[in-house]
Amino acid sequence: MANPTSIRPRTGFHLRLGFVPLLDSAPLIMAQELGLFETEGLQVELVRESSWASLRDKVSFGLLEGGQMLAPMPISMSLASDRPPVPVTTAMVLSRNGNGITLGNQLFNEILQSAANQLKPIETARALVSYARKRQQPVRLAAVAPWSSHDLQLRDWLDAAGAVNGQDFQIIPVSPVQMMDALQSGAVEGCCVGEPWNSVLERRKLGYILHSGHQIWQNAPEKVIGVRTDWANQHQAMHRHLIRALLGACRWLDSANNHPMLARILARPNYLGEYFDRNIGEQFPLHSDGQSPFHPGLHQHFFRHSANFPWLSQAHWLATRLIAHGQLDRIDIASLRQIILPDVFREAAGSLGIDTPMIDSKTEGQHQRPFRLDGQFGPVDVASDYLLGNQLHDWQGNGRSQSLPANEA
Amino acid sequence: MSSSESLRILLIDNNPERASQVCAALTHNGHDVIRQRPDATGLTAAVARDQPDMVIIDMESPDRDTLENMSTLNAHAPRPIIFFADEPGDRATIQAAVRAGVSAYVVDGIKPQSARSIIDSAIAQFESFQALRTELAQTRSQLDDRKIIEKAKGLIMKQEGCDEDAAFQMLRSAAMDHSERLPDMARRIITLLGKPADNVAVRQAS
Repeated sequence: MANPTSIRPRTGFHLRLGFVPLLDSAPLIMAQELGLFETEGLQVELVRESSWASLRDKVSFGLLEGGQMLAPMPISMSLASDRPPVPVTTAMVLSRNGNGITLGNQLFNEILQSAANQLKPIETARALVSYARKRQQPVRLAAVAPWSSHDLQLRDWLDAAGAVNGQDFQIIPVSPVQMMDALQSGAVEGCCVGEPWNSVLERRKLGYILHSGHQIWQNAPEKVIGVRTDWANQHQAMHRHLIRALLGACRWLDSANNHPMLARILARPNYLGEYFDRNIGEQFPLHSDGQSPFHPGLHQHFFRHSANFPWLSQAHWLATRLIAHGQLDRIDIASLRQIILPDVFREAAGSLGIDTPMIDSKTEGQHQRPFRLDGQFGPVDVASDYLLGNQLHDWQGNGRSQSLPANEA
Repeated sequence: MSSSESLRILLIDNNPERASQVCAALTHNGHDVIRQRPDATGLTAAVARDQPDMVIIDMESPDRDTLENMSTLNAHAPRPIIFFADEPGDRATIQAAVRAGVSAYVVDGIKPQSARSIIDSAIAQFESFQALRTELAQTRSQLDDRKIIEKAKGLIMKQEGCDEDAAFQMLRSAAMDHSERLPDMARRIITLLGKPADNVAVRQAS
């Protein structure tokens, strides 16, 4: 990087991957900066996109082979019925958790003064509903992108208290760079966004994080690496090399010792630096005495407890949430198996000596604590998977599906 | 060039110069153009208030996701043009738009040929703006290169006590030896000789 005048012509494979300037673009950025793509024989061009919509459009039209994607995106792109579907596939989860439900000061105080136990999302959601009913005006909340876990988590939180859309709450689309103005002016009273936006809002004293996304869906897949299915089919070896490189980056990211270096690299102009400078006039906030870009309350993680394993059952859960909120028509096992590729992950991880669960699905919501499963080489640690309201998503990939109602406290 | 119907278009582009060009071209074709620099919930409010037939938005704008979200929440909100990419003719237009950085949103019921002619017009403006900008950047970098070479020559002359021609020959052969462009080698020499304490001879450096 100190030598800007590379004289050797670039050789080898060229892969263009998009990322959106958020903290969880870190796996792609670090795989590049640590030379992990290169080690795997991949010449990767990282392209910054200002919106998920642009990333989707460029992948659809072949200007990118793939990139960082919101976990539901490969499903919604592949199975779209309101537009030409674009088959996209994912074999690896890049990050888990990292979203926050942040309320503006006034609404936060209302919830604080209610009898609700702040640690219990169902109680806070009920407090929000009774506040809306008392003042006879819906609470105005914001989400950024459709087909995102932010949007789905916000809705599940409100659903848990039986909130009525339009009567108790309204969801208004606001882009993250405008969330500050929107909260300040009172145009919205709260939002669900990814990092570093919750941290930015807190530092500017525009609101407080009421809940972390992990209180709604514990350790839910947040971002995944998605590539066009035609690319994956034509470049099966490269696809595995891509996953190996990203796994190395994810393992590096889970070590807190590396976070100061991560913060410096993310702040470079071509990654997050210029974007944040231009849009909000400052960089993303640092936590833990300036050592880490990660908010300690949001439990964002990248590697441990089989974080990268693409569970079919979690993809199915996301699909059912998309269906519940009118963003997808239907889901079936055959299509899901074409989109989510646990076998490809198993192979790539195994070649690095990283063990993976032998099964593709588990009962989501059943595990309150980390637990162990049989792996290829021995026992494997797997993260807890609590779902708000003790929901169970019992779907074993054999077509049988059962999802318990959300509003059981 | 004129399309069959006159449409109301909301234009969102944070580049004021380019926005003026697009605005002029579309107005010339008989459309009603509303220019908007969105703030807070301005975009949602503007779409609700102005009820545009089409929204043309710079692909670099973070507000795109806002528009996508609106179209999932409200059946009457403009939908992304990429959603209409099933016709072969449209596919080419949309691909060109994505390449040029134009994104467009259309409400239901607009004639495809009207939408296409508006997008084509916006693409043309975006492309000519980009061409101008590339040309400007090239001219600027050529000027910079020339300055860098002059500076390196000066440093070599001082270091080696030679004349300008000899300095240029030295610079050129160093560049050739390293298979580097002349300006890149000049930059290296400036870094080497620019530091007052380091008296490294150019011949050693090459």
